[in-house]
Amino acid sequence: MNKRARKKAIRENLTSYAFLIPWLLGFFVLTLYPMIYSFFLSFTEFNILQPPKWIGLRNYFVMFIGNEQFPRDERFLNSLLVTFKYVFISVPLKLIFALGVAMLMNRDLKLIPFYRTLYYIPTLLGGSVAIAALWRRLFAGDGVLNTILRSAFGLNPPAWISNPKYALYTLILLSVWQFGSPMIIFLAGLKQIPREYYEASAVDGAGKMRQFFSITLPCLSPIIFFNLVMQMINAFQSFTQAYIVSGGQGGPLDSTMFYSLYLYIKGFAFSEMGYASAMAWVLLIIIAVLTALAFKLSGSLVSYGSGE
Amino acid sequence: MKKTGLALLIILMSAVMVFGQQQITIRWAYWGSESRVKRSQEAINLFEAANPGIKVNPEISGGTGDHFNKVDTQLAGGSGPDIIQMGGNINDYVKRGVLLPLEKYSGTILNTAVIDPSAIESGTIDGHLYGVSTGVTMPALVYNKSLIQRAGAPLPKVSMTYEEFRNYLVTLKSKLPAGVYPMQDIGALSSNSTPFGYWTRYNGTPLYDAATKTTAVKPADAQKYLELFKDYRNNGLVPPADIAAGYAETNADTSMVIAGKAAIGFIWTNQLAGYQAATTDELCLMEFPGAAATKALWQAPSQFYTVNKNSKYPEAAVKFINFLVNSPEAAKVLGNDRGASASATARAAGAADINDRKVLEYLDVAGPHSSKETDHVPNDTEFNSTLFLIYQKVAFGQISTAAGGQQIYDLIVRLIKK
Repeated sequence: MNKRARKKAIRENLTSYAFLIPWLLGFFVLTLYPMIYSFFLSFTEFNILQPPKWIGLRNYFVMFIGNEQFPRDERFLNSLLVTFKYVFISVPLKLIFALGVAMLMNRDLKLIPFYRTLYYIPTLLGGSVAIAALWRRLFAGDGVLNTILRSAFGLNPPAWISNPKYALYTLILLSVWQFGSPMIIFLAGLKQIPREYYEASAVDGAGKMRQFFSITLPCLSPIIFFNLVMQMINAFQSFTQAYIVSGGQGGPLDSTMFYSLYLYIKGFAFSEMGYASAMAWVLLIIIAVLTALAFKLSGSLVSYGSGE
Repeated sequence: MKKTGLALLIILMSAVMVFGQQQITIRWAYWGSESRVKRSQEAINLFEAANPGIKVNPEISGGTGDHFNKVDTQLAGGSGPDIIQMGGNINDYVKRGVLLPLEKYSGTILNTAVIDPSAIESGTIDGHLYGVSTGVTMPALVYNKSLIQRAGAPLPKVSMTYEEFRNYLVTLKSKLPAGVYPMQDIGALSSNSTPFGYWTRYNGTPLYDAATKTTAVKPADAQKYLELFKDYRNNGLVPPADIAAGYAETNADTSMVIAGKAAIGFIWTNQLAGYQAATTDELCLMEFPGAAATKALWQAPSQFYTVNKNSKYPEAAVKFINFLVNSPEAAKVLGNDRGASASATARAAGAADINDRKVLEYLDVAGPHSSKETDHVPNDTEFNSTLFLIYQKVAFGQISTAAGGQQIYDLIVRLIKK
């Protein structure tokens, strides 16, 4: 390479970096630096207003082991349990529901575009504070649902949202109700499956069920896998619903104390930022491990097709 | 040439606009309900009219939890508000070194001579005046007079023993319609350390002594408290746990009494006007049971106005605080909302509002039934939150009262050591 060409290459590189600066700046200042700093903080005791104090692994020790002097944090373990329960119930339900609706939407009827929009609306609203507040009213002891159950069916229903047995399930319902984005992705996937498969199988005498399990599911498996991983990561980080529905307390009896909510309470209400940072790192590791596990399992279950 | 002249003119004009305006803005962070927001805004308007050049920007949160989360974050980020409303946790903030000592303004722009010495003392920590008391307040029970009258039950006496009180609740229960309870479950409050604190004083075992860093509460004492309310719960005098948990009880909007589902509840006297504004029923005040014999009630500084150590305009902030606390004009619009004023000049303005008069009447009766306030357990927020959780475990029948008593004791000991 001669000198001029090299110069030109450098200039071109610099130009591209110059255009990348806004993104790079954002990445280093707003993502990478806080991450590294939070990793450092996770080994400290830090009340926000005074400089952090190095305490080594104590934050992690208190989470999982604990001893006489630094008793184990039972609320932490409970929040982990609550979150796992939430993720492992809500994500599969949501995916099944989304797939079902997507299959209904995958037809050539006149009003389908309208219905598609309609069914997507809960997802647009779902993460909002207003819907969480609405949920609270719907499932309260004297809420809309119970008023209907009482007057129409003469039942004596419990106060769903303030009963530790049911509170988490109302939040799971709220999450399943927001099936819109996986539904749209499923729909796109369904449209990709060649019609000839169905036609050929019909000629061979396959029923709807057989077609679903032998054609739809295998062809859709990469999409299902993608949705599963995305929804799982999202579900682990749920915060708004629990915060609003439980009035910021994670109650009743810590039954809706999601991991991220407890992290927030520890950091901002109890002023234990070091502990909260440690919790954030534990969550990162949990999500990373589960995602890796999902990828590992996917090898045998997901078929990427061999048509092309 | 003409163009240059025009450019110069524009530069000159903008310079005048930027530097000529001697306007400064101070930020005032507080929490409170709608009625407090209205009253505070009226006071701000009066102050701004009398002090052109100073603008006051309120930064309002609905409850204490949100307020302190926000303020902590702002302080950590170096953009804290100038004036910060503080509660019983003022000590925690003095310890963290974020507040400005105010004694150097005393006698000049802050007239401390007319403020009750006890109020000055309550804001003085380690020899420095960090907080100016917004007024005094007392814990009280609030009852819905209209609801009780509609049910055809007798009204409660202001002072009762625990035995009389329980009998009264039983009477109420027999008259009230189904689904309405004689009393809210007082342990299921976000500020439950106050009713518990009262009971420990009544029991002769105060929660905390800062001088010796000890608590007089033993596991058996905390257990007795849990049993008292278990008895109420089992007899329908307070609602079952899942009903109680439906009301966050952080302010009037989430209160069971305001919702019309309980006849008696807990408030601080300064909250009366705010609660009254949220309902068309008439509310009145009564004492916690057993106060007359034990003097277990206390007068507390309702809140404090404190100044951020890093405030750019400490003088303007102190001037505004002095206006809020001492001026008769401000006293008239603020009323008892942040407590009954501790300033002689403000009190001279008199009470215009019926709720303010009800509070003064209550203070007359309950004042003699009170003694010096117990020190706050360190880490106030965590204490309230965890006490709430333990109380709920007992209420939902997950653990016994004995186990609950032990856990409360362990909690207090842990927070004292922390």
